[in-house]
Amino acid sequence: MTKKNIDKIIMLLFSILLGALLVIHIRNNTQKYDIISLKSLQMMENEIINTQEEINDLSEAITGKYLELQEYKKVLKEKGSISSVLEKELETYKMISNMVDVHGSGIMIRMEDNDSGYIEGKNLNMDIIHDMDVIMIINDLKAAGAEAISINGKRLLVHSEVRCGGPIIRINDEEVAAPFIIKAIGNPKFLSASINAPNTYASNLRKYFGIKIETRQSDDILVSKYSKEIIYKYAKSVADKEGE
Amino acid sequence: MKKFENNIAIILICIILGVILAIQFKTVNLTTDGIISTQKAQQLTIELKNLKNEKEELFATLSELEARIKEYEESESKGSVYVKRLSEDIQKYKMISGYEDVQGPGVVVTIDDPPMEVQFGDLTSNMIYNYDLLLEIISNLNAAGAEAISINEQRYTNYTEIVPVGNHININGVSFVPPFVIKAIGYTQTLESALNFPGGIIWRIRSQEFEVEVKPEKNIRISRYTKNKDFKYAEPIVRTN
Repeated sequence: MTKKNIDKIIMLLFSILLGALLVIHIRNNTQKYDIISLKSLQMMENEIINTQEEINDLSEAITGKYLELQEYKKVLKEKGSISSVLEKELETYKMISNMVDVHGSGIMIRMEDNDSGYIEGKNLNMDIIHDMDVIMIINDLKAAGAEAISINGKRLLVHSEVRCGGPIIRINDEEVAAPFIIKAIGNPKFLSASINAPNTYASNLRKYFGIKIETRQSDDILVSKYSKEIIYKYAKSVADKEGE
Repeated sequence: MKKFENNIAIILICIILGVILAIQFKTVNLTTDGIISTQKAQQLTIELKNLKNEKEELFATLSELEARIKEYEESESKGSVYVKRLSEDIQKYKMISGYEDVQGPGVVVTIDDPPMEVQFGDLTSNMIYNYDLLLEIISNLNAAGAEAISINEQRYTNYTEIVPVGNHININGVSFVPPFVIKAIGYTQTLESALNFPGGIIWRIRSQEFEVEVKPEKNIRISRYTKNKDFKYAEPIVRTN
């Protein structure tokens, strides 16, 4: 009788021990698994690629700055003043800021509203060129490597807005109305493809909404500069503040 | 005889227990993709951290070089008014072209995909098909007088394009997935109300189930554009007068 009891007690103790061990094991094992979804993994991979690209850009910029510094030293030794280097730099940044008249090969685009007239039940809004249409076409041109863009003579700047203003569109705070003539400098083939290739925004406008879009490639297009003065009221250079 | 039966019962129970445990462990391993995904995630995190450190270092080198160049300019401009004017002008055009870190008051707009339950179909972000919303926000910000804009830390410049490529959106040639964070410096109240009015862009984004938030902030820092810009086709017209 007592022997059987001892057997059972031993069995019970071992079972408890086994259970405890299993719990500890499972706890340890599952602690390693954080919630890692495929999406977050993908995002992280993406971020790594982006950072790598940024690093490449940065090292390129550093080489550029280093060469600039060398030139400063050289010019300072030879001429005693760095004004000639600064003048050149000023020209470069003016060019990038779109504050210079430029010319070069590119395309001209003429966009006009669909004037096929009113048919019963038709939404005339569909016939009109809207601000978003112009924005999308400009974005396509930029993606095709446009180096200078103007709409009806208004040079597009980083601060240029294209806004609906009722019957007209406002660009650079000035009124622009149809027909719109967009001039873009860049590789004429690429620019033309971004407008005329099937399923681009512009070709869909032409196909489905009847908006008249014509393009003409040219070897020499003149795009005038942005002529207004820009004054920054709120944005301050970070380098300035640190220097104070 | 009875003892023998007892033993057999215990053996059977032990076998069943063992099999159940084995199945349990296997399924846990399978559903979480084994230990590989954890390891991979850890590797990626480490890699990302290293790259970020490297980036910081490069940034430090770049600003050091720039500081030295500025020193030259400053020492020169003490002697000559012409050089001083030149370096002031360069500074101005650098700000316009986005080659200068800037800071100031403004708004931060965050756009993210709708939560999972609302999304259907595959997991490609809906934002990819609605990238025109980003373009419209930027145009609206510009109309409200924004002085500097960045999207996911990419400075918006004269040449910035926003295009969908596969299941990413490319900005300045760098690919991104949501969430998108648009920072803009300018007069906070104008920027905010230009986006927020009923029927305005934020209202329409929200009605498409995207999660969007506009937050005014007192001090936003927008970093510079880092790539060099070369012109292949456009040539400046030099006027001699």
